[in-house]
Amino acid sequence: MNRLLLAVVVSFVGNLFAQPTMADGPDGFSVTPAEVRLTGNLARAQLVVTRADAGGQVGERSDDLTHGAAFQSSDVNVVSVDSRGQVLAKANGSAKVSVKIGDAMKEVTVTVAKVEPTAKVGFVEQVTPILNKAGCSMGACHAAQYGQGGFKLSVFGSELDQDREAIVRDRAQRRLSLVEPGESLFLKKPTMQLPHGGGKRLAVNSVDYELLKAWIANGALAPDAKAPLVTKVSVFPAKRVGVVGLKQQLRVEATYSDGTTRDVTAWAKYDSMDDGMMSVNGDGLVTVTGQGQAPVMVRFEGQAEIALFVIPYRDSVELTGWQNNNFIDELASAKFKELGIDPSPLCDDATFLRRAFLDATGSLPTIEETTAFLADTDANKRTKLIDRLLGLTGDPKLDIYNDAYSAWWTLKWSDLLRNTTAGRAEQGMWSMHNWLRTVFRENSPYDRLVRELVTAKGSVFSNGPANYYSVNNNPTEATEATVQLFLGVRMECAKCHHHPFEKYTQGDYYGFAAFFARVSNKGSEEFGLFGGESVVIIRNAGEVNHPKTGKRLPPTPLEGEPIDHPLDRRIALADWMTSKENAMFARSIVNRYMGYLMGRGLVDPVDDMRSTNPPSNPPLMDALAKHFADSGFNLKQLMRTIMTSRLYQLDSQPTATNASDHRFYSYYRVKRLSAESLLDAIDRAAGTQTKFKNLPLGTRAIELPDAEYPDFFLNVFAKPKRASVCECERSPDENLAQALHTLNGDILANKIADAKGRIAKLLTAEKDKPAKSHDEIVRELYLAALCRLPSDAELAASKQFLNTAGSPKECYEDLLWALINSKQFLFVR
Amino acid sequence: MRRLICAVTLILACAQSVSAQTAYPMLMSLKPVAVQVGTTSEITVNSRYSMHAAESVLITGGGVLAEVIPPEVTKVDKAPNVLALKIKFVVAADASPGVRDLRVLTAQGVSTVAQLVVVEDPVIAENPKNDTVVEAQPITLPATVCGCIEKAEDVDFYKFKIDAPTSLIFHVRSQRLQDRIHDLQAHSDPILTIRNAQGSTIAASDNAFFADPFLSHRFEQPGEYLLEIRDVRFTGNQYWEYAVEIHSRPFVRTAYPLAITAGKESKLTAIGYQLPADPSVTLTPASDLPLGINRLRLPFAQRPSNPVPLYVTALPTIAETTEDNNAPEKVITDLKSEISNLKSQITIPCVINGRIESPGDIDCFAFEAKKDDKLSFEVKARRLQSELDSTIRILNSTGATLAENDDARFGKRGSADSWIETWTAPADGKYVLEIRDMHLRGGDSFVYAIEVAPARPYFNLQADTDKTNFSPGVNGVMWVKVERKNGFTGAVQLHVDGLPAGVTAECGRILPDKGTDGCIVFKATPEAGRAVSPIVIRGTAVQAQADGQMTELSATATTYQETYQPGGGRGHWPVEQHVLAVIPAHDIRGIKLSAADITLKPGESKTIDVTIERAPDFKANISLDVTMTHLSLFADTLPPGVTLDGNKSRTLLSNGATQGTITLTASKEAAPIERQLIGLTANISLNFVVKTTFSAEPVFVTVAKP
Repeated sequence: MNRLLLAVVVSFVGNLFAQPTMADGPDGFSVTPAEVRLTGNLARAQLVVTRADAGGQVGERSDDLTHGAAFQSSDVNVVSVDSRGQVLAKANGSAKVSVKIGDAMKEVTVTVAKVEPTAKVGFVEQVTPILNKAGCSMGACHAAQYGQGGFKLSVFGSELDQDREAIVRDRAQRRLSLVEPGESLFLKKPTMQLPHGGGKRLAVNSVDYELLKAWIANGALAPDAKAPLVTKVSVFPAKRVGVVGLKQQLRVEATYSDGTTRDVTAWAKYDSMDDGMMSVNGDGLVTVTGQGQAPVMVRFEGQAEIALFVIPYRDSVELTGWQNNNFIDELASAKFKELGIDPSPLCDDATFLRRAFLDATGSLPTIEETTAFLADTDANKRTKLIDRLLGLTGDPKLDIYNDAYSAWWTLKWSDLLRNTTAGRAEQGMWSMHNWLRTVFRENSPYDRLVRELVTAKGSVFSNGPANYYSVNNNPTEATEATVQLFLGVRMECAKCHHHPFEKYTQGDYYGFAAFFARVSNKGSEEFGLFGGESVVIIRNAGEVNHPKTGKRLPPTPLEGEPIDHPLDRRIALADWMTSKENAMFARSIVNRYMGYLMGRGLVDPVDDMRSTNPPSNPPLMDALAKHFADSGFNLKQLMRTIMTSRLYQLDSQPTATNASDHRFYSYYRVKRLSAESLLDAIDRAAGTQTKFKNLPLGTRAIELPDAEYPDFFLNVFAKPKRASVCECERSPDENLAQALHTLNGDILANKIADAKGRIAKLLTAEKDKPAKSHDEIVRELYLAALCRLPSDAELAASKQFLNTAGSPKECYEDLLWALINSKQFLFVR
Repeated sequence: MRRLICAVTLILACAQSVSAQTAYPMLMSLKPVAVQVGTTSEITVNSRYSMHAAESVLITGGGVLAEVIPPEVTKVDKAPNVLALKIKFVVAADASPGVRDLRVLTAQGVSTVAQLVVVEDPVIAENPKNDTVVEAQPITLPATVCGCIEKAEDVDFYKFKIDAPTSLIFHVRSQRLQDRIHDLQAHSDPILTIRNAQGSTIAASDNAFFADPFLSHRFEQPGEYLLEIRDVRFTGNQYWEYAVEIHSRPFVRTAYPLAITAGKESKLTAIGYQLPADPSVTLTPASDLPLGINRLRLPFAQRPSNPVPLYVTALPTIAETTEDNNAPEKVITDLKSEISNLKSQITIPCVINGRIESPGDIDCFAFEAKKDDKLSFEVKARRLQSELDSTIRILNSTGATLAENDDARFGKRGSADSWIETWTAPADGKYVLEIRDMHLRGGDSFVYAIEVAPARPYFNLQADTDKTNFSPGVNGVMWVKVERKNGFTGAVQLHVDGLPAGVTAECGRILPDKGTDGCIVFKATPEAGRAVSPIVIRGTAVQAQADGQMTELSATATTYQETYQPGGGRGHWPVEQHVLAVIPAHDIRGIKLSAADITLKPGESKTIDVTIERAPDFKANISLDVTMTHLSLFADTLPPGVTLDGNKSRTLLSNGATQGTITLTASKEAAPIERQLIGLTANISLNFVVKTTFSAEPVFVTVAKP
């Protein structure tokens, strides 16, 4: 028995470490690349071994077998291969590298050329990638403002000549020994043969070490101005779908400006974009530890790419009861199936009503609107409500929320466009404010809105969009604002150096800035004696030069060729930006609106769209963008499409199976009411009004035109100062001050106890009408605050509370206080 | 009883003549600010400084008569402080609609300017309690609603009914009526909103005519609507009156062509809102129309339009005849061809009538010039309500820019119109005049007229300020500044037309070369009584031309009202008239000089003793001066090299002092000048910016040869 048990155990344990077995079929695995060409001394390449299906095909679900395979070179004098599948050039010639998995074997032909007796090591081609890989040129190390230990490199090797000088010539050339390269400080420090604050960055006799040594031995040659530059990187595999525990070796290939390609797996930098889900080491080996979907960012010499990992939560889901209302639901449900996520059910009518009102208009419904909606039995009432909120019915008697809609979205866009009186005449702020109100009231197409802003000119008092250039009054500010607002790209980093996570260079940055180089302003007396407004104009001259090369840069859109216009370059920019063919434009705005309505964009943050930060559902992103462009860039239709989807109407309560999803909208993402919306909601619930400085009583907080008002409540709840175009300036995060404010603050307490407020009126009998009963009062408070009726249990509890309260007034004030402090009130859910 | 009446009369007379620090009234507002043609109505004028003893009202333009409704006299022992005065207006049925300058004549002098709007529809005055939707004031259309944005956060609501689909004009005048108000240091910026019965906004306008809104809106649905007007900033001021003309008639903003010839029939196309299906009219302007900007009513079939600014010229007009002139190379296609064959050629002098038809449109016109020809290119567009903000260039035949201009200055005010004042042709050849909108806009209302003429020497005159109040025994003075153009260097002799009987004027001259200022001293004899009259100030000069010929030049002065700038500076705004008024003597009854004809040798000083006759109870400070200075120098008529020696002069007479001195010193380099008229004045400060000025008899200064 013991032996039998032992045999079983041994068999079991053996199976744990068994070699991966072949799939049925003629092959069982494939090797990528099928053939390798290595050029130059110490050239390397990574082999990736993938399980094939019965038909010999590999796909995104195919297992990686690289680190379980056995590799052997037929001629180690020509090429060697290590256990990780990395081949290394030794001498010119050809050899075969065998890859064995179990009994199956394949061979890869490796050809080596241009191996010289004295290695030709280029500063651009090899030295800089080694320094970047080792982390020497990071901002935290030698690329810090003053370098480290007196040794200063440029960020990510953006200044090749400067870096070479620092290595070779600075400090009386102490860093290199051309006679005995191995004795160079440049090598001894990173290998920890001498103390090094940055730790061990190189191993003696490693490939990178030998290359650097060879470079020194050859005289530490300067960068070759004609050396080809990297134009693209590609990653294999681009996408993997698997299970927890998955391991995947990545292979990275760089394409150069001379058309050549090179395996740069060993030099690429790898970052997991979700550490909770997976990790990746410096060799490009990914290990998955959690479920979800996230990319690994791969960077090499200014280019970046991703490998996407999808680890479903479950093998399959039924999506019971799911119905597709539109293409959003189709594509969302496809993602649910891919990830094995079961979405939450639909929210109830009261929740939907409150959510839709707040999301579309920033306002709560009235009690009358609430009771009417809840009582309505029309199966299409939700869609009809959306149409009314967005003013799309065509009937003036029903389209009564247009002013609230325009006020709410004017507030949002005023934050983004930084419309404020700070440093500007008040009339300019009002001009832009009123222009935005008109834009949203009339539902102007979004491309027109952007065009008017980008090409704005004229009086800042009379022409609202002209204030865009009062706020962004130089080319660099205009550049950063324009690309972030309308293309969702954060370009600030590229102002000083190559963007760390994107492909944009300083040349791209300043080439874009050239569009704004001729924007200027003049004074005007058109507003009479005291007018004093300025007028935005376009001068005939004005250029932008590259800050380092001094070269004049023609106006150039992102990833495009230079474009121009004889009278106003911004016209060419606006044409390019708003073109239906410009995917960035439509994607940026639909992503924003998904973020506003769904609580999180398909790309998050919503204004950080880059290849290394992909959307959570690329097909949905593309479909929404196309739909939006085809609609004529109609913002109300975009909102309608999103809000009428089933996806938008899901309950905010996650289920046991989807609670760990934070990206795929399997439940509605709760978000805190914004400062202004919250203050208005409190006033609605309490039956009061807030008086704002210099605005008549009755002005709602969502109608506030300026950035700052001396209102403590708005400041505590993070009304932004409009100092940044970043969506993040309005922090959605809750904090202790806010909690204390609603729990203990005077503002709320005074509103609730206001002598003319709701509770006071409820307790005052109206002439010729009976006094309201307790139940009626409680119902009204729930409807006013939470847009629903109280449950039987809540009603019963309130009666108990009435019995113990000092007075009815105290009871109802406390009840209203509790309702306002509840999550159901404070959050859009 | 008779004794009592005499006593009262005497006391009243004394009340009128005994005064301290008397100030002429400064009009602040009219309430309501509009009057309807063919009606009689009452308006309240509000002022700073008293309008007591108001006698008459002066109004520019014809067809409007006004008379003061004397206020009740409550106290007879003290001059009442009348800051609100009722005036009765009788407006002829054919009075031309539009804005008029208005002044009130009182015993303290003629006032500063306020502006009255003559309208065609019934005037409805604002009900003060209309500040909420619930309290919206019902109005019947057509109407001109007159109200006031009287305080911060004031919002005025009106409601009206539409019975059938109709289009309505809403034309607001508010800010545009405030530039001529002397001491209104903040101006309104109204915004107009229309809401439907459900309270939803259906239309809004903020700045259409500068800060004033304008809407043309089609109401398809019968029902009740709300009109809301407020300041865009939610600020307010008790003097911020507004008039909103609401009607369904056509509204003409401008017309094409802009430039027409007096006495010559012109075919015009009206440009505006709610126009007839055929907006073209034939207009024959009167042959005696003055040259320049005139406001004329276009003769639509049903009724004349609102007045439209047009430019009347004596120069030949050329119409833009081709669409294909939007690039220089298109108008100079063949350098060898005769310019007369080119489509967009112009002959000089002329006025080009054109239009920037569409966004981005550029118009080019070719012309020939000889080397050293001096030419002037002046755009008249924005000043005539065109939407164009022009920018012009002169290009040579290869397209190189030789000169350009965006915004020009006309007198003391800037304009969005462009003007290349003096361009000298570098060589014989063909050149191109290019015009476009600065902001690349274009459309029907982007019309222009460009006056192209030889840039010969000439001058302009600016009269500072807009009124002269003086009394028998104490003279009045006004100052005139010259703007020299295109190398004009001559002296300018000043003249006055329209003096009332009993008033004479000693007209000075503006010295040649660098001379900038001259003055006119007015004297009233007792026979002048209470004369009041607008006057015209002219200047004449003789200029030697390049060919040696002497040419006579003349100009009529533009009159400027002084305005109180925020923070205390003194500004100017052009008004229509300079008004003379002979008023009873008040604070200063006489100024006697020990000498009025001074001859100085270079390096010499001479002193004039000044004796002031004050009103019996007038003890306030008096400052003597020989220049026009309010914090800074505005006019100096002293001969070059002659200055007031402040150390040797006693110019500040305080605590009732009556004796002062003026010491003039000629520098050693002072050039000889014969009898230059200077203004020797006694000034009483009314506020930080404004003074009442009394002049001595004319003083002449001669600088003898060394």
